[in-house]
Amino acid sequence: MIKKEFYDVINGEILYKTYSTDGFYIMQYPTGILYEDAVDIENSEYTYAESDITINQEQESEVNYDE
Amino acid sequence: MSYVIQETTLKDIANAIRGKNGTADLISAAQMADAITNLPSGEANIQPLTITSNGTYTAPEGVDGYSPVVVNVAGGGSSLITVDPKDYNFYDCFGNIVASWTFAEMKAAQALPEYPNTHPEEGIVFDGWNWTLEEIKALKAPIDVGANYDTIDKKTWIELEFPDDGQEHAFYLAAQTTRPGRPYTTDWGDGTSTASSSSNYQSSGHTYAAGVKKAIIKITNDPTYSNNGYSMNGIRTNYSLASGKANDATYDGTDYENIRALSYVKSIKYGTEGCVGSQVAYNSSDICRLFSEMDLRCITFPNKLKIIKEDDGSEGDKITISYQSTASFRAPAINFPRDIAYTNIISGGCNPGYLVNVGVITSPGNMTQHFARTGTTTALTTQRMYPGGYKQYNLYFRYNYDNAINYSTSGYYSQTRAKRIVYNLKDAKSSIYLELAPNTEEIWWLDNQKSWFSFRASFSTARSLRGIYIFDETSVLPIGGSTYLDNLFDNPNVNVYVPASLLESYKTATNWSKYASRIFELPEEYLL
Repeated sequence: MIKKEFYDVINGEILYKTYSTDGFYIMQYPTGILYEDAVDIENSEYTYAESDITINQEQESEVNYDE
Repeated sequence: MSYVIQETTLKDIANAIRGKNGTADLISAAQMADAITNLPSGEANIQPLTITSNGTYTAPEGVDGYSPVVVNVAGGGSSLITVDPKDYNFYDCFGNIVASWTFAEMKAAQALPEYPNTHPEEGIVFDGWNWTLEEIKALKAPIDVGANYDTIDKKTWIELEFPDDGQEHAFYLAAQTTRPGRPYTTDWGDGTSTASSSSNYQSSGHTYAAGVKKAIIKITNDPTYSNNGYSMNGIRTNYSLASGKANDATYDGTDYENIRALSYVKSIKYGTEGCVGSQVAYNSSDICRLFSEMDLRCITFPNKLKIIKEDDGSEGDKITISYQSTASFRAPAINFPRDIAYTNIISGGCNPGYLVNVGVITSPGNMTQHFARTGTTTALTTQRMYPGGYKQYNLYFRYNYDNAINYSTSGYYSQTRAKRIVYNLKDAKSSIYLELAPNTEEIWWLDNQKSWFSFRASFSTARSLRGIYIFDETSVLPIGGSTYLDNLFDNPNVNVYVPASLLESYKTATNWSKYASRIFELPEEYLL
């Protein structure tokens, strides 16, 4: 599930953090970029949806060229 | 109080003024102060100079001086007086910096520096740098450049030194003809030689008599075969042989057993008409499992190294230096040859490497992949250098993703002592994960093309980092998660520098906005 919550106020800008509560990458629209989490200014143009790619899955890979 | 000034002194001053302002006008003593004030100012015209013999050197007309000056009047092999690193560094095969330039010196350069030594005692001659001046200027980033060499007889040399134990010493060569009709000849350096047959997978061995302490093996193609091209596979090893098992220089269907005692090998110098490596495994054209257990004084490649693929005998464009994961490989420098599209250094089985110990690694300017291999499910190869790159100043990382979609991408390069790491990635559709080395001071990021995932790094390991310089003017570089930037900016010395046209976009971009006060325009001196 996507969750968006208040993050911080920096230099007068209110920031919000968006992330997946289930450990998935979130996909930013309209860019299509995948993030572990995203911190945006209050009136950001971006929206997010949960992807089907788990964050750990992406990081744990190791390359074996013998195969 | 009064002083007497001699007329000749006034004439000297007037001549000096005329020499600077380019006029022939007479100048009175009263006019001299204004004339000096009005002299044109300008930056000094400094050019590099390499000195290879004793003598007096005067800057030519229009040149104010020299920098740097590379001195080698001794003329002896590796006895170079090296220079301090600058923005661009030129390395010999011993890992010495033989010339270095600042950004300004590179901008002004009309040609790459001359190589200061021909290493006559090593049997090699300088064969060109592995970058061209045009490639360096087009890259617009600082790099390390390596010297390539050919052997004086254009054969490939393998220099051996044997233990002084009064015993015979056997040596087995990775004598593999890659395709029928591509034979080679091995001169064992003790008055004997072996001519290969044209069959595939042929190995050869030789036993040196007791008391022989040194030998230089020379390998060449048989010139009677006009269409043979380059046949030699190179040197391969086998654990069991290295650990003392009796020789079995045969192909067993999975591996070769070629060199018994790799520790005998002290240098490898590839020649343009000698053997050229061709990896046999995986239908690729790499040199694999090549250098386990070697502690090389030097390894050299010619500027134009031809590689023959095993699978179809055509010319390849990959070169991989590999070693068994439980072994070690040491060399002062590896300057890969030009016209090689893929370069890599990996451990045995072509897995990511851990124990390689190389002073400096330079790959050619026209490569498309560096420290990486292509694949449909994987992209970057993990590279952990312990403590590889200990003489490196600029580490250049080039990778072309070819639009591959990778869920399993991880690219580390840790433990290098390089001050700058330059990333030049093309067509990336996956994340770039960096494990930064403690000595890294600057990251240069040249291209954001098609990033699908995002840039992430273990910034907490980069204790020396002080700047990330992002040059792509097309879009904001996505950063993977807020925690990565938190790690990055925990270091109070770190700032991020971006193109002026994107400065405001970065300050409000996803995950960057929290650190807007640490984002600045690229410094002018870095806009090459």
